[in-house]
Amino acid sequence: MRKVSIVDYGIGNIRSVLNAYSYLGYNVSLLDKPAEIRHAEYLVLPGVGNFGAVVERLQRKEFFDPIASYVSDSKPFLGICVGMQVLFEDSSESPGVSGFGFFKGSLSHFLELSPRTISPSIGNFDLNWSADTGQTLERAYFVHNYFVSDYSDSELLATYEWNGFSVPAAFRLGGVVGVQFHPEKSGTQGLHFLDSLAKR
Amino acid sequence: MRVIARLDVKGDSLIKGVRFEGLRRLGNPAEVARRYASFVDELFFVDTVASLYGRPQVAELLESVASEIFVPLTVGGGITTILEAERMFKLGADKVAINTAGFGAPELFHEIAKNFGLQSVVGSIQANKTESGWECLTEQGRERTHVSVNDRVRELLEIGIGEIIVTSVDRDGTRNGFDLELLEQVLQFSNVPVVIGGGCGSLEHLETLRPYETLSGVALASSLHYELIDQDQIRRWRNCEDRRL
Repeated sequence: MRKVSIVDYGIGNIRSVLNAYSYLGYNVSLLDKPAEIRHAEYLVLPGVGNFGAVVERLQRKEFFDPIASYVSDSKPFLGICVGMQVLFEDSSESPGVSGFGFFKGSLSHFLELSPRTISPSIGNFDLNWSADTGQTLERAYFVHNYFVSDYSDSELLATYEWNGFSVPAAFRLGGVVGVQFHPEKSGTQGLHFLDSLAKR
Repeated sequence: MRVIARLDVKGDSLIKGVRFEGLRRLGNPAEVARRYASFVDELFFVDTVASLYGRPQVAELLESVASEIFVPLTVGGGITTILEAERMFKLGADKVAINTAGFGAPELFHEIAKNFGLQSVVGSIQANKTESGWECLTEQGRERTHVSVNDRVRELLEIGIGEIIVTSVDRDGTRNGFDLELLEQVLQFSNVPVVIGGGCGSLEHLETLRPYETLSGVALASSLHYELIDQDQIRRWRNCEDRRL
């Protein structure tokens, strides 16, 4: 079994992600030294809150560059929620702030999609996986205000329907996977999903 | 629509009252939480005595369930400072619901949102029907505020929160059905997700929520604790709801 390292950069709640991998029996630890990034076997970047705040915190704690070089080598990586969002180039949430730019594209607010919308989008939604992914996760828990509005089709793995719109839910390029949903909050199925990714 | 199981906790017991009074002990909250987690979308723990004694007793419970239950966990009751909120998040909470301490203290909401994201802040409203409308109560229904629900909703939206959970105090535990007029009022003003609770006692009551397309969730307590609605009925109802969207 791979060793799982969760980037601990002092933002949001990483406890549930840690709990999920422990429950699955992984040797999981919090990674708080940037120099250890390049030695990670499987790196997980959780994140909640603001795009700019996450980028700023990663930079201030000197995690940004090591993570950028880790993902550019396409090593095994999972970004969750804002941890996925920062893999893109930018977000209208934080104009002028650059993310990793590993995935091509950017994020917009749901209000930019439809001004009368109720946001954030919260709850369990059915996932539509692209044909060849082999994924069995049917439903997952989402909570977000910003969504990937511009992306490269070849990197898109899954979408979900929200108020009649098809919203991107997961992306992949090489060993790097990003999910907008919270597999660690999606019940037993979500745990299986984490396991299937880390095992690959 | 999300189905949220609401677990009122006093000390180490799961309890349930009627109109927030006459509390009955119903067992071990961790066991019940584990059971509910297989068919509801979220769990909402309310420490019913914390704001009275100023110490959240729900912490231990949270710590024990967070390592084995993988659905979103919200904690409410007695969270008065950013430090207490932070403690809940560290123990595994995803969101904190704030009512009493949030009156006259918008900075508590701001601080939590700044550190844990807006999605982690739930504005909790305990609404009591009066002759002139709905009044917000605090301290688990013990104290009056003379603030109308409409004013409070507007205030919360101005402060900035991730969602609103509104509980009808005068329907709570009665099994008389939801206060749909109250729900309509809140939905009319809110541009954040709204969760309604209080009064559900049957599948028919759940059905009365169907027309409210913008309603984000429903909080259930008695109907789950006393098995007035079973888990298959909940699954079916929710799947129906989702397909309609």
